[in-house]
Amino acid sequence: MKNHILWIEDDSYVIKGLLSPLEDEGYSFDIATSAMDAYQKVLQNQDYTMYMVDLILPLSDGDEKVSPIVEAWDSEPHVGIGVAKWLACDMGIKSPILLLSVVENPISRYGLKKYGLRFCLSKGGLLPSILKKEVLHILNSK
Amino acid sequence: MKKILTAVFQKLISPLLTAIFIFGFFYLFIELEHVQLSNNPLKSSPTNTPIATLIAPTTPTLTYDNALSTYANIASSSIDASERALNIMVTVFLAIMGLAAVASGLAVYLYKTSSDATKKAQTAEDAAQNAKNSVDRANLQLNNLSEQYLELNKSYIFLLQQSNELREKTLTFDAALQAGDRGEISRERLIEAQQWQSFNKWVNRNNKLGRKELIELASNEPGLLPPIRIAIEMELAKIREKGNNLSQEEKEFMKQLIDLRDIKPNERI
Repeated sequence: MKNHILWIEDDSYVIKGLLSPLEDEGYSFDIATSAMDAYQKVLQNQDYTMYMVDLILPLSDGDEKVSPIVEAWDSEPHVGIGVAKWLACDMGIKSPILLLSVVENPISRYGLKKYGLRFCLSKGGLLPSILKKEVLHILNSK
Repeated sequence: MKKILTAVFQKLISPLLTAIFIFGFFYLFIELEHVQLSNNPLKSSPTNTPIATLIAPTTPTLTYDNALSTYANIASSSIDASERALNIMVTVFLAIMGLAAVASGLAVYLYKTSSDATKKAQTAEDAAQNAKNSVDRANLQLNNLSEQYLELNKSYIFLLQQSNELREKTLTFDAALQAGDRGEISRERLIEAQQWQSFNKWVNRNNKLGRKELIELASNEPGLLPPIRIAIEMELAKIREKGNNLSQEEKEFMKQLIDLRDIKPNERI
C-alpha cells in the first residue's frame, strides 16, 4: 500500500493535527494506540511505507500480554523500544522506522543502532510542517 | 519550716511574750504592794505621825527598852520586806532578760529568715520576669507564624486563581500545533501545551505514562515551564492540606511531584 503509514501513538487523538500536512500530501495513516494494537495491525499488514513509533507507550489497552513484544522490550526503559526492536529484528521490516517521541536522541542514548534503527525525531516542540519535512526527507532518501 | 516558725512566732510566741511582760509587771507590782501591806501591821495614816509613835502604847508604862524593841522589830520587818522585794525584782528582772534574749534570738532568726525569703522572692521575681519574657517572645513568634500563615493562604488563593485562569487559557496541544505552524505562537508556548497535555494525562487521567513524558520534557530545554510548575505546586499544596495522615499512595505521589519539580534541563534521571 503506497504512502500508507502506521503511527503507533497512544495520544494520537489529541495530536492528530501533527499529521495534517502529510495528509495534505496524500499520505494516509493507520493508528495503533498500544503495543498490542501495533502487534495486531502489523500481523495483518506489513506493507506500510513507514512506521512511526512513540516510545512511551502502554503495553496494551487491556490486560492482554504480547509475548513477542514483551520479550523484545526486555530490560529496555520504554515499551516503544520493544516495539521498534520487534519490528526491525523479529518482523524484519524494511520500511523506515521513525522513533517519534518526547525522548531525545533515543538511538544514541539507548544504543539502538545495532537493531537497524536509524531515524528519530523529538516531539518536544515539533511542528507539523517540520514532521512533514523530515518524513519526506527520510522517504525520499530510502 | 521557716514559714511555720514565723507563723508560730507571730501567732503564739509574740502574744505570749507580751502577756508575760504584762503579767510580770503586774506580779511585781502586786508583790511589792503585798510586801508593803503585809509588813505594816497598821494601816497607813493620812497624818504624818511617825509609826513608832502610833505603835507604841500610850500607856505611861512604856519603857525605853520596849520602844527600842518595837523599833527593832519594825526595822527587821522592813529589812525582810525589802530583801524579799529585791529578790522578787531580781527574779523578775532575770526572767525579763531571759525572755528578752529569747525574743532577740527569734528576732535575729526571723531577720535572717526574712532576708533569705527576700532573696528567694527576688529570684522568683527574676524567674517570673524571664518566664514573662519567654511568653512575650513566644507570642511574637506566634504572631509572626500567624502572619506567615495568612500570607501563605493569600498565596494559595492567588495560585488557585492563577491556576484556574491558566486552565481557561490552556491551548489544546492540537490547536497549539496548528497555531505554531502558522507562526502564531512561540515554540515555548507549544512546549507548554505539550507539557499540559502530559500533566493532565498523568494527574487528571491517572495515566502513569504522562509522568514519564513529563520527566522527558522536563529534562530537555527549556525544562518545566511556569504554568506546569504552578500546577505541580498546587497539587503539592492540596496534599499538604491533608496534614500528616497521608496514604502511601499520596506520599508516593507527593514524592513524584517533588522529583519532577526538581528536575533541571539536560539532567537525566
